Amino acid sequence: MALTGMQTPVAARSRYRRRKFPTWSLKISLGIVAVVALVTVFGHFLAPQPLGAVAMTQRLQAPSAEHIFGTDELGRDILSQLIYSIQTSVVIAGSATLLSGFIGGLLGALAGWFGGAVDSTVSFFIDVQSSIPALILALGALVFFGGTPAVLVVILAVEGWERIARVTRAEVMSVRRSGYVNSTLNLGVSRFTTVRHHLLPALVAPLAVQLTLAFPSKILLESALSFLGLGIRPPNTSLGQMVGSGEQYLAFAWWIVLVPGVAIFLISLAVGIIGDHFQDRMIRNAG
Amino acid sequence: MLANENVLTTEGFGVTVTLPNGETKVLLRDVSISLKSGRAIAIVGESGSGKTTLAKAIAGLLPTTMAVDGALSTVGLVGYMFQDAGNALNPTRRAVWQVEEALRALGMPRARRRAAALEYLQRAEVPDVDRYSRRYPHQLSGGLAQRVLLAAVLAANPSILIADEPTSALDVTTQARIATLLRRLVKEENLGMILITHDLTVAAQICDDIAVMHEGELVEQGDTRKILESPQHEYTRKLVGALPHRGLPARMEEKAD
Repeated sequence: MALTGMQTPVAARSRYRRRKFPTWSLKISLGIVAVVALVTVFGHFLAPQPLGAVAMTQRLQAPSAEHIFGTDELGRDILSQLIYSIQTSVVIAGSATLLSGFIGGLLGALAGWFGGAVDSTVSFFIDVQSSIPALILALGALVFFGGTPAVLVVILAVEGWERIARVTRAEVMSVRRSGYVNSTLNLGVSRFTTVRHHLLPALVAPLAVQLTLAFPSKILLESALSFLGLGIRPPNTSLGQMVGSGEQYLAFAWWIVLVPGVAIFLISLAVGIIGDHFQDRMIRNAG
Repeated sequence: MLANENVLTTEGFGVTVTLPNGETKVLLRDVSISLKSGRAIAIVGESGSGKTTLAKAIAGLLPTTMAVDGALSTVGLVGYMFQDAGNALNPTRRAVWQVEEALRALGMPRARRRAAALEYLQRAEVPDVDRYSRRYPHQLSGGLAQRVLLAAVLAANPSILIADEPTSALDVTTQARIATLLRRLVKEENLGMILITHDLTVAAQICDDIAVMHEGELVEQGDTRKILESPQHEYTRKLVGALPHRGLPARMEEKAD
């Protein structure tokens, strides 16, 4: 009994330490993502002012009851601008993440399943993509094609597809060579059914992790490009574009930069924490 | 399938592999065997003798880097019971689902599948079918995983069953039960069975015939009892001489008599 009495608090404490941090951070992250999702879908109804509503008499006003996040250099309500920016950034980064997942997932799956020349070709492109700095490639493409939302989505999708392809390729190879896939094919089950019943379910968890980890990097890259003036252009707005346009007023109107900056930080962190949580769960389940 | 129908014939069969450096290596040379339904043949030999290569060639599971020559003809589906049953079952699916999948491939309607899968599990002597059919592979013992895999293979309605070292990872009691089960199924279902093993005792318990392989060649084949009592080839004599006891174990039905 004495031994049990000594063991229980230690075991309980280690469980507490292991679980407490992920639990509260995950709850807050899920809350942030829920708010961002609501803002993205219903933003037009939530924004106090329409997009680009200029009021020169109310320029550079500090946060107040009337404008809780203040106004910018054109008297636009920062809260309204923030809502429209979140919509733009999330839709662009989200579309780019899905496109990246599709390209990386498809190429990785083909390489892993067929092997041989297909694998060598895909692996070559993965290596090429890995060796090109994403920002330089994105800057070059934006200068050449212009900063429309569609171009931004493609540019952001090209960044990071190779990481998804690598993970998918490894997972598909492992499943393809597993005893149960060989056994299933031997029992007369068609290749299509084998892929549907054995391969795709095995890919769901690692792909979900990769996509949630990829999303914050898209948000950051979109912000960086818009900050540099090569992404979303006025009168449209995005989180990076807000930071870029407010940068010159930082000394006396800090809220113009701080509000979208904090939004970028919180969205990236929240989605990243959720991705990490998925990854931890996947590793625990595999173990 | 009726008893004593020819289900497998190989004539001068060989397998060659092309190595990454371009060299070719002969894995099997001039193998000629035949198998009838309702009979079991053991392919014995030491590791690397070509037993599994022959079995995989018969099941059509050889990798593309390997080339075959000679004649090989089979009748119906060749079911392969892999050595590591735990690995041959999808870890994320329940036992009954794995049997149902073979039935789905045969086009059996969904409404009849569950009952038929449970029947196959019973035929493979899975105890307490209601309970164990709902378990995942990692929740099954080695012997139970073998039985579930056997049920899945039987559900695919094969005419040839290849059992690759089915008892090597099991304890002696479970080994004997699996051996009895395989012997019974061969006779009841009129299967032609190929047992890949290095254990002559198991071969003698289950199989009517025996084929001895050495360095990719078939050195001796014939009736199990005759081969084990009076081996002709030097290598077979060494194998039989290495048996830890005198005399051969009785075949399962002989023991029952």
